[in-house]
Amino acid sequence: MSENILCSVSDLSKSYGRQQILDECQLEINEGEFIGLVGENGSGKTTFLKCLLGFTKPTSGEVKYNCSLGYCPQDNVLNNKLSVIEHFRFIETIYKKRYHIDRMFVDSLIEKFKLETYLDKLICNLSSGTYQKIKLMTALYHKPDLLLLDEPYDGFDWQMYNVFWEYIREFKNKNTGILMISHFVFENDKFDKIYELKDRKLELNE
Amino acid sequence: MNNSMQILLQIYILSARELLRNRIGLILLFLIPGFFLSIAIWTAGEGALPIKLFFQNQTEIILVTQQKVSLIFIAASVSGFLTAFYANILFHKNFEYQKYCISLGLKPSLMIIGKFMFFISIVIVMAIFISVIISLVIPIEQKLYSFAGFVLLGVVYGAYGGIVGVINKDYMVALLLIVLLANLDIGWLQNPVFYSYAQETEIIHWLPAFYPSQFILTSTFTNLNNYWSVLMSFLYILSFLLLLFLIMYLKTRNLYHE
Repeated sequence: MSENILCSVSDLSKSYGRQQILDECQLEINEGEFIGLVGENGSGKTTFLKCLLGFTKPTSGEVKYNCSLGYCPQDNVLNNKLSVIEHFRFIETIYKKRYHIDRMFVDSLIEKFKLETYLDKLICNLSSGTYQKIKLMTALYHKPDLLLLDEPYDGFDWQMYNVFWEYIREFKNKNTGILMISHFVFENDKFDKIYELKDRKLELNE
Repeated sequence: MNNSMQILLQIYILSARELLRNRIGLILLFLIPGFFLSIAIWTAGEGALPIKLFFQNQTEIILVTQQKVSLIFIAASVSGFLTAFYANILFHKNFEYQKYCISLGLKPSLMIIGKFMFFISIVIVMAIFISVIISLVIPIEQKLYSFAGFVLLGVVYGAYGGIVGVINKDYMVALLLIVLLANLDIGWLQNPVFYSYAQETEIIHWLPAFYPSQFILTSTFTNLNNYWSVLMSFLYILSFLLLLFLIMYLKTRNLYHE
């Protein structure tokens, strides 16, 4: 795998029983590349992302990484019985094993996403927008080389939506590769490339 | 403290906080044994019953009052059921969060060890609680061994609860599988009043609660040693834990990226 390729997906297929979801999908994500993944509801976008991360085992094909990962899932996977600060401390301990944590950056994330007043709250008591911020912040926390984002601004208000795009620009400028599942057509000009999942195939929209 | 130790400590502390925040669950964890044991003390009679104890190559028949037998049998049943139930929650409820953390870089082995360490602590606390209640009501011949028997039973059933929890995505199916085995085994067939007069005991010997319960009964009512039961209990624990760890490892190994 060449040095500036962060992730390479070759011939990735996934079936659940007789129902085929993905058919020989190919993808490469390079440094500083911002890729959009679009498709109709139920077309297999989340399954594709889950195959990339190992949450779902592909029926065939290969996924290779050459970098650190940040992942923002669509599902509500957080532990509801923990407080926000407990979650972040735990995640930081996990990240610290491999990555340098920039405290200034973490503090700026907390400030810009307006999370200061929520740090001691239990995750089960958060609104859906705040819950989403926690997931997104977890993905950005260690400044990964590659971001995999599954509808990351779901539930954000307009101000947070703009903060989100500020961070995306900042990460892209620092050569981070980004793969994002999106539904909004008006965002299309922001991506370097857009792939569409259609009839189980991943096609590059020219 | 190195990073792995910090992670283990955090998993332990966070598991404890999760339990402490579930106040009703925590109260029930101690109220249920207290309630069942009180009913046993209140209802059981003082008449003596002959019960059979199984050793490696022999059996012994001893005379024990109905109250003493009921108390130990109920304590073992409640202990087995609650530890299986709690392990099921511990390994099942936040399995998606655990998988998410593994995808972020948490080693599956650390997650398993951290959870298991906390589980063992809960088993020990429950065994102490149950042993103290029992010792206030009836004389126990070998207190430490009787307590150890409850710990063995808790770990055997906890490992079973953990296995059921990680295999099944559906919480209700997992719960019913625990109810099925716990009721059949520790709640019925290991009752000394039942098995002492059973016409067929072979199947009873193969059930997971058999050896720990024999160790509890022997240690509580006699001065005899039943090391065979301890050895066999450890064999069950080892097999169940290996199976639990293997299933968890297989379910999470693709998520961990070097």
